[in-house]
Amino acid sequence: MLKIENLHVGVKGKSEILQGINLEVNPGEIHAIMGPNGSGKSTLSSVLAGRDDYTISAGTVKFDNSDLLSLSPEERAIKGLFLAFQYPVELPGVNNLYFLKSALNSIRRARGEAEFDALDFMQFVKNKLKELEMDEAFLQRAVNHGFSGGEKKRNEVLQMMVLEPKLAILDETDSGLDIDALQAVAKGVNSLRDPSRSFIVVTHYQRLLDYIVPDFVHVLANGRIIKSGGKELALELEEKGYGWLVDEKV
Amino acid sequence: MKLHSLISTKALSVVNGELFMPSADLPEGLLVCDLQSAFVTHPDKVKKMMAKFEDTRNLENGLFIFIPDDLVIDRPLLIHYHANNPPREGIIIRNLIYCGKRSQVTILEYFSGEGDVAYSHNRVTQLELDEHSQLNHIHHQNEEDSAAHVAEILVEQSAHSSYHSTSFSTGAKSQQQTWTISLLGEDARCLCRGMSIVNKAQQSNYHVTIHHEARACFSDQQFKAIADEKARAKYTGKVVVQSTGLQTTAHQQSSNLLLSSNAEIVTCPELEIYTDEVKCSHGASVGELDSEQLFYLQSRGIPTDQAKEILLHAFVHDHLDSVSPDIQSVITPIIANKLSQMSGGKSQ
Ligand SMILES: Nc1ncnc2c1ncn2[C@@H]1O[C@H](COP(=O)(O)OP(=O)(O)OP(=O)(O)O)[C@@H](O)[C@H]1O
Ligand SMILES: [Mg+2]
Repeated sequence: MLKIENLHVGVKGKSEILQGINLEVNPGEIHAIMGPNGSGKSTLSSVLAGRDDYTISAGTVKFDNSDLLSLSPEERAIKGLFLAFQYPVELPGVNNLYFLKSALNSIRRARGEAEFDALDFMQFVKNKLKELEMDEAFLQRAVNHGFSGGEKKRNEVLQMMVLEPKLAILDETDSGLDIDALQAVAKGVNSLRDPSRSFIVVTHYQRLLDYIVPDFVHVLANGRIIKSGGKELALELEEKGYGWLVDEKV
Repeated sequence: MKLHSLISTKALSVVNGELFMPSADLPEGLLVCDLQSAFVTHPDKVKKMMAKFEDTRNLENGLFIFIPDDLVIDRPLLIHYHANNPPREGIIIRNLIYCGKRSQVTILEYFSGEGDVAYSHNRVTQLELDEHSQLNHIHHQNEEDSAAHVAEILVEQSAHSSYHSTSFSTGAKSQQQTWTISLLGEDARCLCRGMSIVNKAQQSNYHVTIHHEARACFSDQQFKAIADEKARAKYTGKVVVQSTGLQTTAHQQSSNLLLSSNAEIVTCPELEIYTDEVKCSHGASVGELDSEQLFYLQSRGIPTDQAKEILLHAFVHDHLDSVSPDIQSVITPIIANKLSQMSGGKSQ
Protein backbone atom coordinates (compact mmCIF):
# COMPACT_ATOMS: atom_id res chain seq x y z
CA MET A 1 0.00 0.00 0.00
CA LEU A 2 2.71 2.46 1.03
CA LYS A 3 6.38 2.09 0.21
CA ILE A 4 8.88 4.72 1.26
CA GLU A 5 12.42 4.33 -0.04
CA ASN A 6 15.49 6.29 0.96
CA LEU A 7 13.51 9.47 1.68
CA HIS A 8 15.61 12.54 2.37
CA VAL A 9 13.81 15.73 3.41
CA GLY A 10 14.93 19.15 4.52
CA VAL A 11 13.66 22.68 4.96
CA LYS A 12 15.24 26.05 4.54
CA GLY A 13 17.62 26.35 7.45
CA LYS A 14 17.75 22.62 8.21
CA SER A 15 18.80 20.66 5.19
CA GLU A 16 18.51 17.10 6.54
CA ILE A 17 15.54 16.42 8.78
CA LEU A 18 14.84 13.00 7.30
CA GLN A 19 17.98 11.17 6.29
CA GLY A 20 16.94 8.13 4.35
CA ILE A 21 13.65 6.70 5.56
CA ASN A 22 12.61 3.24 4.43
CA LEU A 23 9.20 1.95 5.40
CA GLU A 24 6.69 -0.42 3.88
CA VAL A 25 3.11 -0.63 5.04
CA ASN A 26 0.89 -3.40 3.72
CA PRO A 27 -2.92 -3.44 3.67
CA GLY A 28 -4.44 -4.10 7.08
CA GLU A 29 -1.28 -3.34 9.05
CA ILE A 30 -0.82 -0.96 11.92
CA HIS A 31 2.62 0.60 12.28
CA ALA A 32 3.59 2.61 15.32
CA ILE A 33 6.33 5.21 15.05
CA MET A 34 8.00 6.36 18.23
CA GLY A 35 11.04 8.51 18.78
CA PRO A 36 12.50 11.51 20.58
CA ASN A 37 11.19 15.04 20.15
CA GLY A 38 12.47 16.66 17.00
CA SER A 39 13.43 13.37 15.37
CA GLY A 40 11.30 14.01 12.27
CA LYS A 41 8.04 12.16 12.91
CA SER A 42 5.77 15.11 12.05
CA THR A 43 7.97 16.01 9.12
CA LEU A 44 7.47 12.54 7.71
CA SER A 45 3.71 12.76 8.29
CA SER A 46 3.46 16.19 6.64
CA VAL A 47 5.52 15.18 3.64
CA LEU A 48 3.28 12.18 3.11
CA ALA A 49 0.19 14.42 3.29
CA GLY A 50 1.68 16.82 0.74
CA ARG A 51 2.85 19.87 2.64
CA ASP A 52 5.02 21.80 0.24
CA ASP A 53 7.35 23.75 2.54
CA TYR A 54 9.76 20.82 2.54
CA THR A 55 12.43 20.00 0.01
CA ILE A 56 12.70 16.39 -0.92
CA SER A 57 16.27 15.84 -1.98
CA ALA A 58 16.09 12.10 -2.59
CA GLY A 59 13.84 9.09 -2.34
CA THR A 60 10.51 7.80 -3.59
CA VAL A 61 7.13 7.13 -2.08
CA LYS A 62 4.69 4.76 -3.71
CA PHE A 63 1.07 4.74 -2.62
CA ASP A 64 -1.07 2.09 -4.25
CA ASN A 65 1.39 2.02 -7.14
CA SER A 66 1.22 5.73 -7.84
CA ASP A 67 4.01 8.19 -7.20
CA LEU A 68 2.67 9.87 -4.08
CA LEU A 69 5.11 12.77 -4.11
CA SER A 70 3.87 14.01 -7.48
CA LEU A 71 0.28 14.37 -6.26
CA SER A 72 -1.36 17.45 -4.75
CA PRO A 73 -2.63 17.19 -1.16
CA GLU A 74 -6.23 16.92 -2.35
CA GLU A 75 -5.33 14.16 -4.83
CA ARG A 76 -3.71 12.23 -2.01
CA ALA A 77 -6.88 12.56 0.07
CA ILE A 78 -8.92 11.37 -2.89
CA LYS A 79 -6.64 8.36 -3.19
CA GLY A 80 -7.41 7.56 0.43
CA LEU A 81 -4.62 9.10 2.49
CA PHE A 82 -5.49 10.92 5.69
CA LEU A 83 -3.37 12.74 8.25
CA ALA A 84 -4.65 13.52 11.74
CA PHE A 85 -2.49 16.54 12.54
CA GLN A 86 -0.41 16.88 15.69
CA TYR A 87 -1.50 20.53 15.83
CA PRO A 88 -4.81 20.91 13.98
CA VAL A 89 -5.31 24.48 12.75
CA GLU A 90 -8.31 26.54 13.70
CA LEU A 91 -10.63 27.75 10.98
CA PRO A 92 -12.66 30.60 12.49
CA GLY A 93 -15.77 31.29 10.46
CA VAL A 94 -15.86 27.82 8.86
CA ASN A 95 -18.71 25.72 10.16
CA ASN A 96 -17.58 22.23 11.18
CA LEU A 97 -20.56 20.44 9.67
CA TYR A 98 -20.17 22.31 6.40
CA PHE A 99 -16.46 21.51 6.38
CA LEU A 100 -16.99 17.79 6.95
CA LYS A 101 -19.63 17.61 4.27
CA SER A 102 -17.55 19.60 1.77
CA ALA A 103 -14.58 17.33 2.37
CA LEU A 104 -16.51 14.10 1.97
CA ASN A 105 -18.43 15.32 -1.05
CA SER A 106 -15.29 16.67 -2.76
CA ILE A 107 -13.72 13.26 -2.42
CA ARG A 108 -16.82 11.42 -3.56
CA ARG A 109 -17.26 13.74 -6.53
CA ALA A 110 -13.64 13.22 -7.58
CA ARG A 111 -14.13 9.47 -7.34
CA GLY A 112 -17.30 9.62 -9.41
CA GLU A 113 -19.46 8.58 -6.46
CA ALA A 114 -22.82 10.10 -5.55
CA GLU A 115 -22.63 13.07 -3.17
CA PHE A 116 -24.44 13.08 0.16
CA ASP A 117 -27.36 15.45 0.54
CA ALA A 118 -27.67 17.50 3.71
CA LEU A 119 -30.08 15.16 5.47
CA ASP A 120 -28.30 11.90 4.74
CA PHE A 121 -25.01 13.45 5.71
CA MET A 122 -26.42 14.67 9.00
CA GLN A 123 -27.55 11.17 9.88
CA PHE A 124 -24.22 9.71 8.82
CA VAL A 125 -22.15 12.17 10.84
CA LYS A 126 -24.35 11.89 13.92
CA ASN A 127 -23.65 8.18 14.07
CA LYS A 128 -19.93 8.86 13.95
CA LEU A 129 -20.24 11.42 16.73
CA LYS A 130 -21.97 8.86 18.88
CA GLU A 131 -19.17 6.37 18.41
CA LEU A 132 -16.69 9.01 19.53
CA GLU A 133 -18.92 10.21 22.36
CA MET A 134 -18.78 13.72 20.96
CA ASP A 135 -21.50 16.27 21.55
CA GLU A 136 -23.51 17.28 18.48
CA ALA A 137 -22.85 20.91 19.38
CA PHE A 138 -19.40 20.49 17.83
CA LEU A 139 -20.99 20.32 14.40
CA GLN A 140 -22.27 23.88 14.63
CA ARG A 141 -19.02 25.39 15.84
CA ALA A 142 -16.22 26.74 13.69
CA VAL A 143 -13.63 24.07 12.85
CA ASN A 144 -11.36 23.64 15.90
CA HIS A 145 -11.95 27.26 16.85
CA GLY A 146 -11.71 27.54 20.62
CA PHE A 147 -11.67 23.75 20.93
CA SER A 148 -9.62 22.39 23.82
CA GLY A 149 -6.53 20.40 22.93
CA GLY A 150 -8.32 17.10 23.44
CA GLU A 151 -11.41 18.25 21.53
CA LYS A 152 -9.25 19.11 18.53
CA LYS A 153 -7.78 15.62 18.56
CA ARG A 154 -11.22 14.09 18.70
CA ASN A 155 -12.31 16.28 15.84
CA GLU A 156 -9.41 14.90 13.79
CA VAL A 157 -10.61 11.38 14.49
CA LEU A 158 -14.15 12.42 13.57
CA GLN A 159 -12.85 13.60 10.19
CA MET A 160 -11.04 10.32 9.74
CA MET A 161 -14.20 8.39 10.48
CA VAL A 162 -16.20 10.48 8.04
CA LEU A 163 -13.64 10.19 5.24
CA GLU A 164 -12.88 6.49 5.83
CA PRO A 165 -9.36 6.60 4.38
CA LYS A 166 -7.30 3.64 3.18
CA LEU A 167 -4.24 4.83 5.03
CA ALA A 168 -4.58 6.98 8.13
CA ILE A 169 -1.58 8.64 9.75
CA LEU A 170 -2.26 9.68 13.33
CA ASP A 171 0.36 12.16 14.52
CA GLU A 172 0.26 12.11 18.31
CA THR A 173 -3.51 11.94 18.31
CA ASP A 174 -3.29 10.55 21.84
CA SER A 175 -1.31 13.47 23.30
CA GLY A 176 -3.42 15.56 25.62
CA LEU A 177 -6.33 13.14 25.73
CA ASP A 178 -7.93 12.12 28.98
CA ILE A 179 -8.44 8.40 29.64
CA ASP A 180 -12.03 8.36 28.38
CA ALA A 181 -11.17 10.31 25.25
CA LEU A 182 -8.26 7.97 24.59
CA GLN A 183 -10.59 5.00 24.74
CA ALA A 184 -13.14 6.71 22.52
CA VAL A 185 -10.47 7.53 19.97
CA ALA A 186 -9.12 4.00 20.07
CA LYS A 187 -12.64 2.67 19.63
CA GLY A 188 -13.01 4.91 16.58
CA VAL A 189 -9.77 3.67 15.08
CA ASN A 190 -10.57 0.05 15.83
CA SER A 191 -14.01 0.38 14.28
CA LEU A 192 -12.28 1.28 11.03
CA ARG A 193 -9.88 -1.66 11.18
CA ASP A 194 -10.21 -3.66 8.06
CA PRO A 195 -7.95 -6.02 6.08
CA SER A 196 -7.65 -3.37 3.37
CA ARG A 197 -7.05 -0.38 5.64
CA SER A 198 -3.75 0.61 7.25
CA PHE A 199 -2.62 2.94 9.98
CA ILE A 200 0.57 4.72 10.92
CA VAL A 201 0.33 5.76 14.55
CA VAL A 202 2.87 8.27 15.82
CA THR A 203 2.97 8.30 19.60
CA HIS A 204 5.15 8.92 22.62
CA TYR A 205 3.18 6.62 24.88
CA GLN A 206 3.10 2.89 25.03
CA ARG A 207 -0.37 3.21 26.65
CA LEU A 208 -2.08 4.00 23.35
CA LEU A 209 -0.70 0.77 21.92
CA ASP A 210 -2.62 -1.21 24.53
CA TYR A 211 -5.77 0.01 22.83
CA ILE A 212 -4.55 0.17 19.25
CA VAL A 213 -2.36 -2.88 18.97
CA PRO A 214 0.36 -2.40 16.34
CA ASP A 215 1.85 -5.04 14.11
CA PHE A 216 5.15 -3.17 13.99
CA VAL A 217 6.89 -0.56 16.09
CA HIS A 218 9.60 1.67 14.60
CA VAL A 219 11.98 4.02 16.32
CA LEU A 220 12.71 7.21 14.44
CA ALA A 221 15.75 9.14 15.68
CA ASN A 222 17.74 11.86 13.95
CA GLY A 223 15.79 11.39 10.76
CA ARG A 224 16.33 7.65 10.46
CA ILE A 225 14.46 4.54 11.48
CA ILE A 226 17.05 3.02 13.77
CA LYS A 227 15.10 0.06 15.02
CA SER A 228 11.98 -1.87 14.11
CA GLY A 229 10.25 -4.63 15.97
CA GLY A 230 6.96 -6.04 17.17
CA LYS A 231 4.71 -4.51 19.82
CA GLU A 232 7.11 -5.65 22.59
CA LEU A 233 9.54 -2.98 21.39
CA ALA A 234 7.18 -0.31 22.69
CA LEU A 235 7.30 -1.85 26.16
CA GLU A 236 11.06 -2.00 26.04
CA LEU A 237 11.22 1.68 25.03
CA GLU A 238 8.87 2.62 27.82
CA GLU A 239 11.23 0.97 30.26
CA LYS A 240 14.62 2.03 28.88
CA GLY A 241 13.99 5.23 26.92
CA TYR A 242 15.83 5.93 23.69
CA GLY A 243 19.35 6.38 24.98
CA TRP A 244 20.54 2.81 24.53
CA LEU A 245 19.39 2.76 20.89
CA VAL A 246 20.86 6.08 19.94
CA ASP A 247 24.18 5.19 21.61
CA GLU A 248 24.20 1.77 19.99
CA LYS A 249 23.86 3.43 16.65
CA VAL A 250 26.76 5.81 17.21
CA MET B 1 -27.79 40.85 -12.95
CA LYS B 2 -30.42 38.36 -11.88
CA LEU B 3 -29.32 38.37 -8.28
CA HIS B 4 -30.92 41.76 -7.80
CA SER B 5 -34.37 40.34 -8.28
CA LEU B 6 -34.21 38.88 -4.80
CA ILE B 7 -34.06 42.39 -3.45
CA SER B 8 -36.34 44.22 -5.83
CA THR B 9 -39.36 42.11 -5.00
CA LYS B 10 -39.18 43.13 -1.36
CA ALA B 11 -37.75 46.61 -1.53
CA LEU B 12 -38.70 50.17 -2.11
CA SER B 13 -37.12 51.11 -5.36
CA VAL B 14 -35.34 54.27 -6.33
CA VAL B 15 -34.49 54.32 -10.03
CA ASN B 16 -32.10 56.97 -11.28
CA GLY B 17 -32.76 58.82 -8.06
CA GLU B 18 -36.51 58.78 -8.38
CA LEU B 19 -38.61 57.03 -5.74
CA PHE B 20 -41.29 54.63 -6.83
CA MET B 21 -43.79 54.19 -4.07
CA PRO B 22 -44.39 50.53 -3.73
CA SER B 23 -47.74 48.94 -3.99
CA ALA B 24 -46.28 46.58 -1.44
CA ASP B 25 -46.74 47.54 2.18
CA LEU B 26 -44.14 49.36 4.19
CA PRO B 27 -43.59 48.38 7.78
CA GLU B 28 -46.44 50.03 9.65
CA GLY B 29 -45.91 53.41 11.23
CA LEU B 30 -42.94 54.28 9.06
CA LEU B 31 -43.08 57.32 6.84
CA VAL B 32 -41.16 57.25 3.59
CA CYS B 33 -41.58 59.87 0.89
CA ASP B 34 -39.51 61.79 -1.61
CA LEU B 35 -37.73 64.89 -0.50
CA GLN B 36 -40.05 67.24 -2.36
CA SER B 37 -43.13 65.94 -0.56
CA ALA B 38 -41.29 66.10 2.73
CA PHE B 39 -40.73 69.82 2.26
CA VAL B 40 -44.51 70.08 2.42
CA THR B 41 -45.31 67.55 5.13
CA HIS B 42 -42.37 68.10 7.51
CA PRO B 43 -40.96 71.50 6.53
CA ASP B 44 -39.30 72.28 9.87
CA LYS B 45 -37.56 68.96 10.28
CA VAL B 46 -36.39 68.91 6.69
CA LYS B 47 -35.07 72.46 6.66
CA LYS B 48 -33.30 71.98 9.96
CA MET B 49 -31.59 68.81 8.82
CA MET B 50 -30.71 70.23 5.41
CA ALA B 51 -29.12 73.27 6.99
CA LYS B 52 -26.52 71.05 8.61
CA PHE B 53 -24.98 70.05 5.35
CA GLU B 54 -24.74 72.57 2.58
CA ASP B 55 -24.60 71.15 -0.88
CA THR B 56 -24.69 73.34 -3.91
CA ARG B 57 -25.54 70.59 -6.33
CA ASN B 58 -28.96 69.86 -7.69
CA LEU B 59 -30.70 68.21 -4.78
CA GLU B 60 -34.16 67.53 -6.08
CA ASN B 61 -34.00 63.80 -5.66
CA GLY B 62 -33.92 62.00 -2.42
CA LEU B 63 -35.80 60.23 0.30
CA PHE B 64 -37.15 61.31 3.60
CA ILE B 65 -37.59 58.56 6.15
CA PHE B 66 -39.29 59.47 9.36
CA ILE B 67 -39.39 56.99 12.18
CA PRO B 68 -41.79 58.19 14.89
CA ASP B 69 -41.01 57.98 18.60
CA ASP B 70 -41.39 54.51 20.12
CA LEU B 71 -41.76 52.73 16.81
CA VAL B 72 -40.21 49.27 17.02
CA ILE B 73 -40.26 47.14 13.90
CA ASP B 74 -38.66 43.76 13.34
CA ARG B 75 -39.09 43.67 9.60
CA PRO B 76 -36.26 45.54 7.88
CA LEU B 77 -36.91 48.36 5.46
CA LEU B 78 -35.19 47.51 2.18
CA ILE B 79 -34.33 50.24 -0.29
CA HIS B 80 -32.97 49.39 -3.71
CA TYR B 81 -31.26 52.19 -5.62
CA HIS B 82 -30.83 51.34 -9.23
CA ALA B 83 -29.18 53.13 -12.12
CA ASN B 84 -30.76 52.35 -15.45
CA ASN B 85 -28.97 54.15 -18.27
CA PRO B 86 -28.86 57.27 -16.15
CA PRO B 87 -27.97 60.76 -17.41
CA ARG B 88 -24.31 61.53 -18.11
CA GLU B 89 -24.07 64.01 -15.29
CA GLY B 90 -24.90 61.22 -12.89
CA ILE B 91 -27.48 60.59 -10.24
CA ILE B 92 -27.54 62.74 -7.16
CA ILE B 93 -29.53 61.71 -4.14
CA ARG B 94 -30.06 63.49 -0.87
CA ASN B 95 -31.51 61.37 1.90
CA LEU B 96 -32.70 62.34 5.33
CA ILE B 97 -33.42 59.74 7.96
CA TYR B 98 -34.78 60.62 11.35
CA CYS B 99 -35.07 58.04 14.13
CA GLY B 100 -37.49 59.11 16.85
CA LYS B 101 -36.93 58.57 20.56
CA ARG B 102 -36.75 54.92 21.64
CA SER B 103 -37.44 53.69 18.11
CA GLN B 104 -35.78 50.50 16.83
CA VAL B 105 -35.45 49.93 13.11
CA THR B 106 -33.32 48.08 10.57
CA ILE B 107 -32.66 49.52 7.12
CA LEU B 108 -30.86 48.01 4.14
CA GLU B 109 -29.76 50.26 1.30
CA TYR B 110 -28.64 48.41 -1.79
CA PHE B 111 -27.04 50.03 -4.84
CA SER B 112 -26.88 48.56 -8.32
CA GLY B 113 -26.94 49.56 -11.95
CA GLU B 114 -27.22 48.40 -15.55
CA GLY B 115 -26.50 49.63 -19.06
CA ASP B 116 -23.29 50.22 -20.98
CA VAL B 117 -22.57 53.82 -20.13
CA ALA B 118 -20.32 54.75 -17.28
CA TYR B 119 -22.34 56.54 -14.63
CA SER B 120 -21.99 57.93 -11.17
CA HIS B 121 -24.18 57.46 -8.14
CA ASN B 122 -23.70 60.34 -5.72
CA ARG B 123 -25.48 60.49 -2.47
CA VAL B 124 -25.59 62.42 0.70
CA THR B 125 -27.32 60.66 3.54
CA GLN B 126 -27.99 62.41 6.80
CA LEU B 127 -29.12 60.51 9.82
CA GLU B 128 -30.36 61.78 13.09
CA LEU B 129 -30.78 59.38 15.99
CA ASP B 130 -32.82 60.79 18.81
CA GLU B 131 -32.45 59.71 22.43
CA HIS B 132 -32.55 55.98 23.14
CA SER B 133 -33.16 55.12 19.49
CA GLN B 134 -31.50 52.15 17.83
CA LEU B 135 -30.77 51.93 14.14
CA ASN B 136 -29.25 48.96 12.42
CA HIS B 137 -28.10 50.24 9.07
CA ILE B 138 -26.72 48.04 6.31
CA HIS B 139 -25.31 49.26 3.02
CA HIS B 140 -24.39 47.19 0.07
CA GLN B 141 -22.77 48.96 -2.84
CA ASN B 142 -22.83 46.62 -5.82
CA GLU B 143 -22.75 49.02 -8.77
CA GLU B 144 -21.79 48.08 -12.32
CA ASP B 145 -18.09 47.74 -13.13
CA SER B 146 -18.10 51.07 -14.93
CA ALA B 147 -19.67 53.11 -12.16
CA ALA B 148 -18.37 55.65 -9.72
CA HIS B 149 -20.05 55.65 -6.34
CA VAL B 150 -19.59 58.64 -4.09
CA ALA B 151 -21.25 58.74 -0.72
CA GLU B 152 -21.22 61.25 2.07
CA ILE B 153 -22.86 59.91 5.20
CA LEU B 154 -23.43 62.12 8.21
CA VAL B 155 -24.73 60.74 11.46
CA GLU B 156 -25.69 62.64 14.59
CA GLN B 157 -26.44 60.67 17.71
CA SER B 158 -28.24 61.89 20.82
CA ALA B 159 -27.87 60.49 24.31
CA HIS B 160 -28.22 56.72 24.76
CA SER B 161 -28.75 56.12 21.07
CA SER B 162 -27.17 53.17 19.34
CA TYR B 163 -26.09 53.06 15.71
CA HIS B 164 -24.91 49.84 14.08
CA SER B 165 -23.68 50.26 10.58
CA THR B 166 -22.36 47.57 8.25
CA SER B 167 -21.27 48.57 4.78
CA PHE B 168 -20.34 46.09 2.05
CA SER B 169 -18.70 47.16 -1.18
CA THR B 170 -18.42 44.70 -4.01
CA GLY B 171 -19.14 46.84 -7.06
CA ALA B 172 -18.19 50.02 -8.90
CA LYS B 173 -14.99 50.96 -10.65
CA SER B 174 -14.30 53.38 -7.89
CA GLN B 175 -16.09 54.17 -4.73
CA GLN B 176 -15.53 56.77 -2.08
CA GLN B 177 -17.53 56.66 1.14
CA THR B 178 -17.00 59.36 3.69
CA TRP B 179 -18.57 58.80 7.05
CA THR B 180 -18.81 61.40 9.76
CA ILE B 181 -20.42 60.26 12.95
CA SER B 182 -20.93 62.64 15.84
CA LEU B 183 -21.68 61.31 19.28
CA LEU B 184 -23.40 64.32 20.77
CA GLY B 185 -25.25 62.95 23.79
CA GLU B 186 -23.88 60.91 26.65
CA ASP B 187 -23.71 57.13 26.38
CA ALA B 188 -24.25 57.20 22.61
CA ARG B 189 -22.90 54.04 21.03
CA CYS B 190 -21.71 53.42 17.54
CA LEU B 191 -20.47 50.29 15.83
CA CYS B 192 -19.24 51.03 12.34
CA ARG B 193 -18.22 48.16 10.10
CA GLY B 194 -17.06 48.04 6.53
CA MET B 195 -16.01 45.42 4.05
CA SER B 196 -14.46 46.03 0.64
CA ILE B 197 -14.27 43.08 -1.72
CA VAL B 198 -12.50 44.27 -4.84
CA ASN B 199 -10.74 42.82 -7.87
CA LYS B 200 -9.77 43.85 -11.44
CA ALA B 201 -8.92 47.55 -11.27
CA GLN B 202 -11.54 48.45 -8.67
CA GLN B 203 -10.85 51.07 -6.06
CA SER B 204 -12.64 51.29 -2.77
CA ASN B 205 -12.10 53.97 -0.23
CA TYR B 206 -13.66 54.33 3.20
CA HIS B 207 -12.96 57.42 5.19
CA VAL B 208 -14.49 57.40 8.65
CA THR B 209 -14.37 60.06 11.32
CA ILE B 210 -16.03 59.64 14.68
CA HIS B 211 -16.37 62.67 16.91
CA HIS B 212 -16.71 61.96 20.61
CA GLU B 213 -18.28 65.09 22.00
CA ALA B 214 -20.17 63.84 25.05
CA ARG B 215 -19.20 61.75 28.04
CA ALA B 216 -19.23 57.97 28.27
CA CYS B 217 -19.70 57.36 24.57
CA PHE B 218 -18.51 54.23 22.83
CA SER B 219 -17.36 53.69 19.28
CA ASP B 220 -15.94 50.72 17.46
CA GLN B 221 -14.72 50.70 13.86
CA GLN B 222 -14.13 47.34 12.25
CA PHE B 223 -13.00 47.48 8.65
CA LYS B 224 -11.94 44.66 6.42
CA ALA B 225 -10.85 44.37 2.82
CA ILE B 226 -10.06 41.68 0.30
CA ALA B 227 -8.16 42.93 -2.74
CA ASP B 228 -7.25 40.86 -5.77
CA GLU B 229 -5.63 41.56 -9.16
CA LYS B 230 -4.90 45.28 -9.46
CA ALA B 231 -7.52 46.49 -7.03
CA ARG B 232 -6.92 48.97 -4.29
CA ALA B 233 -8.73 49.26 -0.96
CA LYS B 234 -8.15 52.05 1.45
CA TYR B 235 -9.49 52.73 4.91
CA THR B 236 -8.81 55.81 6.96
CA GLY B 237 -10.33 55.69 10.41
CA LYS B 238 -10.18 58.70 12.60
CA VAL B 239 -11.33 59.23 16.15
CA VAL B 240 -11.57 62.73 17.53
CA VAL B 241 -12.18 63.02 21.26
CA GLN B 242 -13.15 66.53 22.31
CA SER B 243 -12.47 67.88 25.78
CA THR B 244 -16.13 67.13 26.54
CA GLY B 245 -15.68 63.49 25.63
CA LEU B 246 -14.78 62.19 29.07
CA GLN B 247 -14.77 58.45 29.65
CA THR B 248 -14.63 57.77 25.95
CA THR B 249 -14.09 54.25 24.69
CA ALA B 250 -12.98 54.03 21.07
CA HIS B 251 -11.74 50.99 19.19
CA GLN B 252 -10.50 50.63 15.66
CA GLN B 253 -9.57 47.43 13.91
CA SER B 254 -8.64 46.82 10.33
CA SER B 255 -7.88 43.37 8.92
CA ASN B 256 -7.09 42.77 5.31
CA LEU B 257 -6.37 40.07 2.80
CA LEU B 258 -4.16 40.70 -0.17
CA LEU B 259 -4.70 38.08 -2.87
CA SER B 260 -2.31 39.40 -5.47
CA SER B 261 1.01 41.17 -5.42
CA ASN B 262 -0.41 43.82 -7.74
CA ALA B 263 -3.27 44.68 -5.43
CA GLU B 264 -2.88 47.32 -2.78
CA ILE B 265 -4.31 47.80 0.68
CA VAL B 266 -3.79 50.96 2.66
CA THR B 267 -5.00 51.43 6.18
CA CYS B 268 -4.46 54.49 8.36
CA PRO B 269 -5.81 54.83 11.87
CA GLU B 270 -5.72 58.34 13.31
CA LEU B 271 -6.39 59.61 16.80
CA GLU B 272 -6.94 63.15 17.98
CA ILE B 273 -7.54 63.43 21.70
CA TYR B 274 -8.23 66.54 23.76
CA THR B 275 -8.88 64.93 27.11
CA ASP B 276 -7.18 62.42 29.41
CA GLU B 277 -9.93 60.08 30.38
CA VAL B 278 -10.10 57.86 27.33
CA LYS B 279 -9.72 54.22 26.45
CA CYS B 280 -8.61 53.79 22.87
CA SER B 281 -7.24 50.86 20.92
CA HIS B 282 -6.35 50.24 17.35
CA GLY B 283 -4.91 47.42 15.34
CA ALA B 284 -4.29 46.64 11.72
CA SER B 285 -3.18 43.62 9.78
CA VAL B 286 -2.57 42.86 6.14
CA GLY B 287 -1.88 39.31 5.11
CA GLU B 288 -2.38 36.62 2.54
CA LEU B 289 -4.55 33.56 2.85
CA ASP B 290 -3.07 31.38 5.58
CA SER B 291 -1.10 28.56 3.96
CA GLU B 292 -1.60 26.22 6.91
CA GLN B 293 -5.35 26.67 6.79
CA LEU B 294 -5.30 26.14 3.06
CA PHE B 295 -3.25 22.98 3.44
CA TYR B 296 -5.59 21.67 6.11
CA LEU B 297 -8.58 22.01 3.78
CA GLN B 298 -6.73 20.51 0.84
CA SER B 299 -5.53 17.58 2.92
CA ARG B 300 -9.20 16.77 3.42
CA GLY B 301 -9.74 16.46 -0.30
CA ILE B 302 -11.06 19.94 -0.97
CA PRO B 303 -9.70 21.37 -4.26
CA THR B 304 -7.52 24.47 -4.01
CA ASP B 305 -10.02 26.91 -5.51
CA GLN B 306 -12.81 25.73 -3.26
CA ALA B 307 -10.48 25.80 -0.25
CA LYS B 308 -9.62 29.44 -1.02
CA GLU B 309 -13.28 30.27 -1.41
CA ILE B 310 -14.06 28.70 1.97
CA LEU B 311 -11.38 30.84 3.61
CA LEU B 312 -12.64 34.00 1.91
CA HIS B 313 -16.13 33.29 3.18
CA ALA B 314 -14.70 32.75 6.63
CA PHE B 315 -13.02 36.14 6.42
CA VAL B 316 -16.30 37.85 5.54
CA HIS B 317 -18.24 35.76 8.00
CA ASP B 318 -18.38 37.93 11.12
CA HIS B 319 -19.53 41.02 9.25
CA LEU B 320 -22.15 39.09 7.36
CA ASP B 321 -23.23 37.20 10.43
CA SER B 322 -23.89 40.42 12.29
CA VAL B 323 -26.77 41.41 10.01
CA SER B 324 -30.25 39.98 10.38
CA PRO B 325 -31.17 36.74 8.57
CA ASP B 326 -33.65 38.57 6.28
CA ILE B 327 -30.89 40.77 5.01
CA GLN B 328 -28.31 38.02 4.90
CA SER B 329 -30.55 36.05 2.62
CA VAL B 330 -30.52 38.88 0.07
CA ILE B 331 -26.91 39.93 0.11
CA THR B 332 -25.14 36.63 0.77
CA PRO B 333 -25.64 35.28 -2.78
CA ILE B 334 -24.20 38.49 -4.22
CA ILE B 335 -21.16 38.38 -1.97
CA ALA B 336 -20.69 34.66 -2.65
CA ASN B 337 -20.75 35.38 -6.36
CA LYS B 338 -18.07 38.00 -5.97
CA LEU B 339 -15.89 35.77 -3.80
CA SER B 340 -16.09 32.93 -6.29
CA GLN B 341 -14.53 35.27 -8.90
CA MET B 342 -11.62 35.84 -6.57
CA SER B 343 -10.69 32.30 -5.61
CA GLY B 344 -10.08 30.98 -9.10
CA GLY B 345 -6.32 31.36 -8.66
CA LYS B 346 -6.04 33.47 -11.81
CA SER B 347 -3.96 36.11 -10.08
CA GLN B 348 -0.50 35.96 -8.51
N1 LIG C 1 9.82 24.65 8.92
C1 LIG C 1 10.87 24.30 9.66
N2 LIG C 1 11.93 25.13 9.80
C2 LIG C 1 13.00 24.78 10.56
N3 LIG C 1 13.09 23.61 11.21
C3 LIG C 1 12.08 22.75 11.10
C4 LIG C 1 10.91 23.03 10.33
N4 LIG C 1 10.08 21.98 10.40
C5 LIG C 1 10.69 21.09 11.20
N5 LIG C 1 11.89 21.54 11.62
C6 LIG C 1 12.83 20.86 12.51
O1 LIG C 1 12.94 19.53 12.11
C7 LIG C 1 13.04 18.68 13.23
C8 LIG C 1 11.98 17.60 13.19
O2 LIG C 1 10.72 18.18 13.53
P1 LIG C 1 9.40 17.31 13.67
O3 LIG C 1 8.28 18.23 13.93
O4 LIG C 1 9.28 16.43 12.49
O5 LIG C 1 9.72 16.44 14.96
P2 LIG C 1 8.83 15.37 15.72
O6 LIG C 1 9.58 14.10 15.67
O7 LIG C 1 7.47 15.36 15.21
O8 LIG C 1 8.87 15.92 17.20
P3 LIG C 1 7.76 15.91 18.39
O9 LIG C 1 7.84 14.58 19.03
O10 LIG C 1 8.24 16.97 19.32
O11 LIG C 1 6.44 16.20 17.78
C9 LIG C 1 12.99 19.56 14.45
O12 LIG C 1 14.31 19.82 14.88
C10 LIG C 1 12.33 20.81 13.93
O13 LIG C 1 12.74 21.95 14.65
MG1 LIG D 1 5.66 15.88 15.97
